[in-house]
Amino acid sequence: MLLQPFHGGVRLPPHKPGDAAPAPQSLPLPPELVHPLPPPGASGACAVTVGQRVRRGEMLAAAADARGAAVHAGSSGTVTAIAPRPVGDGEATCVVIATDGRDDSAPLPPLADWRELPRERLLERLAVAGVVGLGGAAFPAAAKLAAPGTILILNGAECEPWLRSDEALLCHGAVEVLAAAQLLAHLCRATRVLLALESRMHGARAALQAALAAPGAGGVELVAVPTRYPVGSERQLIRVLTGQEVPSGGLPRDLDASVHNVASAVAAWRAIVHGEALTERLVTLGGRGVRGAGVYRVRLGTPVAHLVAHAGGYTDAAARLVLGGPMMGQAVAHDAVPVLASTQAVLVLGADELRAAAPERACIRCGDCAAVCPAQLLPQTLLAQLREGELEAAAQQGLSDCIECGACAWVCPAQIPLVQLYRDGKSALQVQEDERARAAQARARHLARAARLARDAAERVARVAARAPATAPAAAQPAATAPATPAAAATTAAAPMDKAAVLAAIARGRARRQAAAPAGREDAP
Amino acid sequence: MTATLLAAALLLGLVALGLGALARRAGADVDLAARIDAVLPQTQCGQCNYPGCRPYAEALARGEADIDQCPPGGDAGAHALARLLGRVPKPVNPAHGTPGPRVVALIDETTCIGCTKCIQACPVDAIVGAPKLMHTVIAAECTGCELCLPPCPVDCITLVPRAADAAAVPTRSTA
Amino acid sequence: MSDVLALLFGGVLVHNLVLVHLCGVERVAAIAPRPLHAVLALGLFATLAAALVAPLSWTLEHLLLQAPVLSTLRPATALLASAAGVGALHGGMRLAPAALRALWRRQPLPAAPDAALLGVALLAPALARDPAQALLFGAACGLGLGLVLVLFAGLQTRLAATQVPAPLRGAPLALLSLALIGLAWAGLAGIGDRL
Repeated sequence: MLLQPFHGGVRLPPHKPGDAAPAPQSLPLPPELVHPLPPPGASGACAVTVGQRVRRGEMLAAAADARGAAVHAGSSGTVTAIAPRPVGDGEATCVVIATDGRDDSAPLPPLADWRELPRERLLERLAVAGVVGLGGAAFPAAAKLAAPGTILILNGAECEPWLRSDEALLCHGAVEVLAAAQLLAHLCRATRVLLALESRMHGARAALQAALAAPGAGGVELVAVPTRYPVGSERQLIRVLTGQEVPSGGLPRDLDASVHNVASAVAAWRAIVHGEALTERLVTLGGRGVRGAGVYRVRLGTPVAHLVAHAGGYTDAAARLVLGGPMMGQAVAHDAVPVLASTQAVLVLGADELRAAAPERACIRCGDCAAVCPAQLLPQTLLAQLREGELEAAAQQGLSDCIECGACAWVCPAQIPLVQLYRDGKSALQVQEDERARAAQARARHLARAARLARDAAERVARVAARAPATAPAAAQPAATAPATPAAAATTAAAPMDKAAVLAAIARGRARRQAAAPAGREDAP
Repeated sequence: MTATLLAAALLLGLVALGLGALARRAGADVDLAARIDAVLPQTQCGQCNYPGCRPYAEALARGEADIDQCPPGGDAGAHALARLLGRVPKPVNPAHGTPGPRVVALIDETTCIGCTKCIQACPVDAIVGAPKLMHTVIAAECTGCELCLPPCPVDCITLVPRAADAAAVPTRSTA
Repeated sequence: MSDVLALLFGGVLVHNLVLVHLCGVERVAAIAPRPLHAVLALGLFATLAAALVAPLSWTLEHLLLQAPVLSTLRPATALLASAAGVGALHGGMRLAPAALRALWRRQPLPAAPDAALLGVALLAPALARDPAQALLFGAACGLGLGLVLVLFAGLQTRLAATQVPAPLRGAPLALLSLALIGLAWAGLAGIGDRL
């Protein structure tokens, strides 16, 4: 198959010894599992209460909006708390389960005859099972699969250094991957199924080819893409495989294509065929700072400390803890955080595996950043614009198209933290958009109010004119345009107000004002 | 001679076409006041000495007002106005007020006497209530203009910081 | 045909008002960062003005200043021609359709002729052989001015976002850039040797 190159990208040292990934190892159950509630994280959305016994796969909370997914218990046990806990580099309201070791599960009814079932039923099962993308973004799979696509691409091109979770799945679970491919092809109504691997994944390729040779399997084209970061990114992968570019602000469905991570595909298959909710994933443990590096099958909600401890603990070289890959992952301050659906890896990097800390210097306009940007942006221009606070100009330059891969920051000789800057810029743009929306709302209300006042005044004039002769002309007052003008007597109630009570309240208010005056309160303008 | 005349006519014709196109483009949004109004924060507070954001926008379009009169827009807003109008950017003039964090009004319900004076004062109808019945501010609609504070006879309205919006800010693209 | 091309290239490139003859430098050095369409409008109005000034100046020169001693009056006729040309443009804009008038009012050319138009008034009689050529040359000069305005507006937009040392900020850097680009422009001298 003829492959197209994508713009930019960098060759990174892989840190993945050997042709094949190690077989996934299992992990004993941790004493405690911590499950963050789906955004916005309101504890009112929780379906369980403290003290309730839950089984593995039982729903703890439903998704609140289209961006979130249902959360399920990773093992059986008792809910001990629904409280804020550290998650990633922040905090979130979590359901904490004390495991009982029995690991009872509550599976949903298996749908072995999925070929005969309507699509909506299968998508509903995926939503209920909380299946999300396991390639790092954790986007709900049901929402992504809702749009059909002629080309289905299974993304096994795990391009970040150290990460071998998907590779391990391909090497040791090739049969499941191919079965999942058939299921997804059915869901997407795809006529062509491509499975992308990196060219260096020889072991995975051999395993998949062996599995494809078996009767019943088939219909999946294996494609080896060049090992160049970030070829595993959705847009770059589509460019390589089809030669087409996903338009700015668009999605793969605009090109009639659908890209899914291989682990996500298997999770979807498990949810439908075996009725298993998403409760575990493969996590790569790597780096010089930890013993027992390899791939582990980890229950979601397992504290990172438990994973590291079971693997053999930290070494003396441990310098930084990263959740995810070294390019797009998140550095965290401590290991009391849970493994999430988006945690592809836990890396404990040694000091020699990190870039030497150096102060940020001024941009020297070398242009290396633009040469490596896979989204074909101009990081230099974006840097200048964001530093000056020119948000609209940055948005016009394509700030929203940045995939935050970190290639520009990797090559920058001046050590400028470009990705952090672009993330800040995107947040600032979002805040600005929200402010504009609020302002538009306020403007609409202001205009409506002005219209109402004008209408009231016109009605008043008409009423007075209808009554005509005796009444004085002073009763008709045109409505003022200034907003602080009090309305006419038409709004007073018919019954007389309790004068004593009102005077008492005014006295109270005056007393309060005088009491507050020496302390100095904020004045109205 | 004729060739030159023809060439000159052609050139000037192109210039005229170009000007026409630019004029049509400028004419499409010739309402400068509307474009300025789109950038203003719509607090309708009057700190700029105009009775609302639209009158200020119109004054700016006429060239009567300066760009540093809007405290709720902050220095960023003044900068945006400068860019829109092609003037030199400058920070907000402290004589009009100091830019600060966004606030919303809060009515102390134990003190409120139901006089409706604040309801009449609110430029965006963000206060709900009726005579002799409880008044309350709809926080989502309140712009923090502070116009309801002076009319209240029992001084029961205070300003509290605006709660952060619940919607999470996306930090990653859908990669 | 070659005449036409020589006049065009001459006006826009070889005899560029700002970069070669250094007329209208103040307008370019002081230009604020502006959107492209605003600068384009400025340039096109300048072209119209120059196209009015050049044949006027040519006619004045060749009708009045035939005797050698009268050539000392050239600055006066040039001034007269520029003033008349700009005045005609102002007058014309008052009769123009509303949209064009709005565009003009946003950034009108100054009523007093600036150095760029004076430059056209002085160059046109020297380099053109009849009023038609003067017209074409004038328009081309105006286009050249517009080109430089667009160039420098873009440059200033880029420079606004960079960290320029304080002593060089604004006009000094603009003048330096002008000088360097003018140096490069000198390489275009000689195109259209007829002129």
